[in-house]
Amino acid sequence: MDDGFADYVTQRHARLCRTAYLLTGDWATAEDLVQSALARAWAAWRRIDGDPDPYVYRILTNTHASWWRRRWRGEIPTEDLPEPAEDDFTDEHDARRALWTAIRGLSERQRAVVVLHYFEELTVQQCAGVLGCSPGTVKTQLGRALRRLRVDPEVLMVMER
Amino acid sequence: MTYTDDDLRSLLRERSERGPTRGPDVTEIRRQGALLRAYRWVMGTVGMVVAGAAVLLLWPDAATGPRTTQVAAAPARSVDPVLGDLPYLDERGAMDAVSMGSSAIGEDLAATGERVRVRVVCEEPRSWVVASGKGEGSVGRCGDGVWTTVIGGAPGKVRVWVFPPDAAITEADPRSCAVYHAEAGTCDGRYRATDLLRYDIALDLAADLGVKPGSWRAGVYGDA
Repeated sequence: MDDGFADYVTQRHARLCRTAYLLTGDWATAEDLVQSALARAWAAWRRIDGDPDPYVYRILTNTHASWWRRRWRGEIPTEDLPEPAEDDFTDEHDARRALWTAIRGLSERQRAVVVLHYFEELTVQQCAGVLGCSPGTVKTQLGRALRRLRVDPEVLMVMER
Repeated sequence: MTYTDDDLRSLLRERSERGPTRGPDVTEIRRQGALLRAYRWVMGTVGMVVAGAAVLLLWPDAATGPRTTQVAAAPARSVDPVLGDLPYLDERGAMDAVSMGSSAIGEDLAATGERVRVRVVCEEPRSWVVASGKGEGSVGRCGDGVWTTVIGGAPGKVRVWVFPPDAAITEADPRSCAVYHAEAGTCDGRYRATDLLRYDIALDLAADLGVKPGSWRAGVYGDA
């Protein structure tokens, strides 16, 4: 009946939770999100052909998007980060903390693109498949996200090629 | 200060390193999944009942559709090599009618007047039928081999598709889909019935299926 569902959950649960944490920023919410996404996947398990990962990631990001909209408290992601003082971020730790804060400040969609591309190492095409949009839209979202994160402009140029 | 994409990768790895505090509860996940599946089934059934009631309200004769098909009144004929014993429609008074020997083909029928009645007889019971015209239309199953509907809005022409009973079509509400692709008109990998009113989506399904044997006749009538 399960057709490998239990095995899939056992093997992939921890990784899915890590991805969900990067989307939500909270471990408890991430675990709830994964549980909910896996329940949805189970309901459709018999219809999934081949690798379930793209399907499960799609459920995960869609469920997160709907939770995010429901729980949105009116915070508006800032377009620009405050410019740090000249000597700030000499400390590696501070720099990384600032980058994490910036990631948390991205829109839900931009964050999803960044997590799928840089954490899950999905290609732009694969991201588009998971998010249900065109590769062009993924590139646009990724470009905006990287600008806001102040990622090296050369990275942007390579990506936009 | 700027970052490299390696900074981004290592930060995402580092921040998510801790991992979940508890292991997966597969039993609970299955229980939630079963509840979700039951909820979708109930919603689908309620949807069909509501749609049926709406048709009866709009056109009370719909309930007697199969009886009033007047198959008996059809002219004497020899068995068609393609259509076999498929009953004839009552084509007297039909504005336009068509007989086909394969499913998954969109056929246009001329229709004049504000509201028109569409009647389809299918060889395979429970075949899916889509009839649309100028933004209006309906989708349903050829219950006992006959399906009828009414299309308003002065359609001018009605496009009819017949898909096999086992085509990947669902009547689920988009809100109950785990993954709903509005653009592709799919819910959890199946085509959503009402989205098939869109030509591009019906065409996609037809392309997925290919042309299959499946005889049907369709007629468009006035005086709805």
